[in-house]
Amino acid sequence: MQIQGVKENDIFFFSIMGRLDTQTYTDAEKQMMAWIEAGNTKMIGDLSDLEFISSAGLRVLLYAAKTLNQQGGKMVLFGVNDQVNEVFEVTGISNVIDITTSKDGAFSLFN
Amino acid sequence: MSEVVRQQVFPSRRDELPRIAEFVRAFVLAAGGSVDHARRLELAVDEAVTNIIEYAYESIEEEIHIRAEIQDNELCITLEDRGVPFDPTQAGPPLSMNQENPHQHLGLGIPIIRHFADTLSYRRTASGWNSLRICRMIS
Repeated sequence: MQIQGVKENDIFFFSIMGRLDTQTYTDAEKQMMAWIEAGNTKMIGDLSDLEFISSAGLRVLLYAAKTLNQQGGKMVLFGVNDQVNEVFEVTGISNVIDITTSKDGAFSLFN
Repeated sequence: MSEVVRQQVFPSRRDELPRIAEFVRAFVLAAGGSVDHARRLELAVDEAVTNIIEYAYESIEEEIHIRAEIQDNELCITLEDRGVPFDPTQAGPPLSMNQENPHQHLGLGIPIIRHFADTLSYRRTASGWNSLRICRMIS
């Protein structure tokens, strides 16, 4: 799993690549919470190269989204592949986190 | 009608999950399944094994016996452990997603197992083993 991010104006863009599962979720969680604690409240996540997600990975995304919501911020995800999207649908994650098909679509939710 | 069987015993540790995933993936592909079939079964098994490690064995290292078999285009993975009895086929819906603790168990793994398996069956054996059978058709 690789995770990286960059701030562009007032929006923080991040991407998660590879497998977000029981083996890797703690690293992803530490990094995401560090970005949030640094004051980023508007976050857009590119999941185009996320190949695999399990329930451990879902908990990281849920917790980050909830923390942002509590701070008046928001997280939007885009580029979700079919299997990851199926996991989002079956667990109900897609009902609590905004998911779009493109970066532009994600960006438009902040305007 | 032919049957191919592979079985292996794994320690119940999180760091064994990649080796278990590889065991499942290799079996599915060798049995004629697609990469998509492999990923789906791998995900269901990953969630079920995580439940065994964390809840059936309560993170104490024990053994998980895994048996993979194919018969008439149906691939089945059977997971056996001697931990706390738990029947995922009877588990309730996931808990609220408004949790305070990011590590709290939400029960999200159960709908994943149910969705990515075509059939799921559980039994507690007379000798005290949990036996969970996860099957998918590959035709």
